[in-house]
Amino acid sequence: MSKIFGEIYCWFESLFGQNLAEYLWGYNCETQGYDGKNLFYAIGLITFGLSLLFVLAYYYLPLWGFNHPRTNRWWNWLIILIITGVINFIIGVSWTINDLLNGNIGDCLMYTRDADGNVVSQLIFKSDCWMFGVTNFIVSALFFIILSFILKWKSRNCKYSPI
Amino acid sequence: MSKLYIFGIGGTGARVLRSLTMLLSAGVECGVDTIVPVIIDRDISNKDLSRTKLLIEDYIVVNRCVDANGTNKFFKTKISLLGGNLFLQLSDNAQQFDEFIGRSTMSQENNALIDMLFSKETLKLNMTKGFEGNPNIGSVVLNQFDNNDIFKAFANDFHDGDKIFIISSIFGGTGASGFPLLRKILHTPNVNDAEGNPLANWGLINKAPIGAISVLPYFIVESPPKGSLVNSDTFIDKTKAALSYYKNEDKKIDTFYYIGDTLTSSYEHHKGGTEQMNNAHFVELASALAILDFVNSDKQNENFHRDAHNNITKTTYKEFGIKTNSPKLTFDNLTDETRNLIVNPLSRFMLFAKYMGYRVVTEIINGKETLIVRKIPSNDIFEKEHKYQPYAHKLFTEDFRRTNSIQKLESIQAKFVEWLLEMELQNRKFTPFNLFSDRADDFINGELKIIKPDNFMYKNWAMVDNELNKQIVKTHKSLQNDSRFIELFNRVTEKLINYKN
Repeated sequence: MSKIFGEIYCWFESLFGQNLAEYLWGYNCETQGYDGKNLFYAIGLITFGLSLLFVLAYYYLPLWGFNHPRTNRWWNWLIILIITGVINFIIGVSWTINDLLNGNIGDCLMYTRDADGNVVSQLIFKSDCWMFGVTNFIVSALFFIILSFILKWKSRNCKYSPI
Repeated sequence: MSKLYIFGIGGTGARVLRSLTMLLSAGVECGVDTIVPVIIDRDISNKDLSRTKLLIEDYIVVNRCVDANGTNKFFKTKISLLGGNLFLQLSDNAQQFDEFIGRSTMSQENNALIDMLFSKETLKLNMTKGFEGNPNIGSVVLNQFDNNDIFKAFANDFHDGDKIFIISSIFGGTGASGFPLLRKILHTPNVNDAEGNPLANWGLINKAPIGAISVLPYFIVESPPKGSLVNSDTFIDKTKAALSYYKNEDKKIDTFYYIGDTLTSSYEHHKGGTEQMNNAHFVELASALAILDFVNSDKQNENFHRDAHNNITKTTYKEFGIKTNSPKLTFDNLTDETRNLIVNPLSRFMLFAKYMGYRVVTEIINGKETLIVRKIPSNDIFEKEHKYQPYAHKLFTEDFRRTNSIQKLESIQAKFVEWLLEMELQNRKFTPFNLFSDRADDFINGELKIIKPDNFMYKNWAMVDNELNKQIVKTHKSLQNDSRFIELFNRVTEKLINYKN
């Protein structure tokens, strides 16, 4: 189960870079093994959970904007998908940038150094964190779409939204 | 399956039948399975008659598609025509009254008698458009019912348990004369047709439960042109004369209803023909309620008093009353009994018609501001929403509205709003609804607040769509789409509108 989330995120590894991916898998520079925390799992679970929450709200919560005869158009569904995606984008970006700025990412993943230990090049940048945010948006959208088509069928007002 | 045969005599008969058809369209409870209307008139070009005919024809089409065994109440009662005909047309060839009585072949003595009984104007009266308010002519001319094919069809169709009702006005020509004549024929034993053959089931007809309503004056006509015999100044006198004659009907009718109104409207003078089309009036709606009262199974004991030989021992006389007098009536002015009967059905059908886009608007026609009923695209909720709402998905799609039964349904909905508008324009107005409102939740006038959404989140038409989406799963999948559509709206409107006294 914990690997599935990582595998899904790694479909888009080219967007946010291999080194950040290694960090998120839980690679430990000291032990040179994957005995650190699998952050793909933690972030993935939150992303999945939020997507599920918004899908259930859209189709079943009796509140304006959700499960309502005037917001059952495909674009209403799309707006909720985008809102869910943006929230997950923010979570993805803020989590990784926070770890980057707090020095939580192992040195071997962050820099290449010469024989004297001087930094030759940086390997992970803020832009990679932003791209991870974009990846989390995409993954969130995928979860939202799949969950919509599984869960919508008992909805009173929205069961044919988006199609 | 019990039937009620309704003989509507003259223009009043046609207008009351129109009101009755509107009430049945809305699903007002009726104590018989089938209504068989017959309109008796000489003037079949009369626009009141043709309007009623078109309405009944549309009703029959819609009634055929509704589920007879389900919970739906709209169009539930069957209307059936004898031999496919609505009119009992009096078909002698005479145009003038003196021709009809064969004056040219009379002896001198008989001619002198005729001159004493009838004025020159009366003798020269052109009867093709009716009797111009002269029951003395009508009583001679109308004595030919039993020769008519539709009368034979009536006799053949009649069964034990069926009932008869006669609608007439007391102040006109055709109705005032036609009612007692018709009643007399129905109670004459062993009536033969023109070929001398006995009419079928006549014994049953003689003894059948029979009711009648006599409509007293409720309108006047504007000053007639020279040469016309129609004069509303004589309505009251004619009413008095007819009422004194109707004493003879005591113990010949089971229940006799009277209705009239002292607050009269003024109609344009027309002798008859295609120009005679009077606006609907609340008196006609109340007259239609009399018919439903007559067949109400809870009222058998008060409406019928018969002895062991099935002879009438007592005639029940009834009048219609309202709770509070006002020139502008809403549901608030009606008695509890009347409200229980009509508030829910009329309100539900009105909501249905509004959902399909029908409302009253003001248009300039021939340079004059005119109120007219239209289907307004911006108010046509069905057209706007059926693409998105689950209730319509794959069922009520683009072509659905073009099916014949749905077109007839919408035709009736437009006519229903028109009928309400006409009653609103009378001096005695009946204005239960705000016909201009485009909202779902505030169109009922007066104090009654009977629209009940189950969730405050769904307002206006969203409330209706929410309920449609909820109820569609409860309708029978085996029904045809048109039938399912009508049943769905009946369920939804019952949930949203449920007035209890």
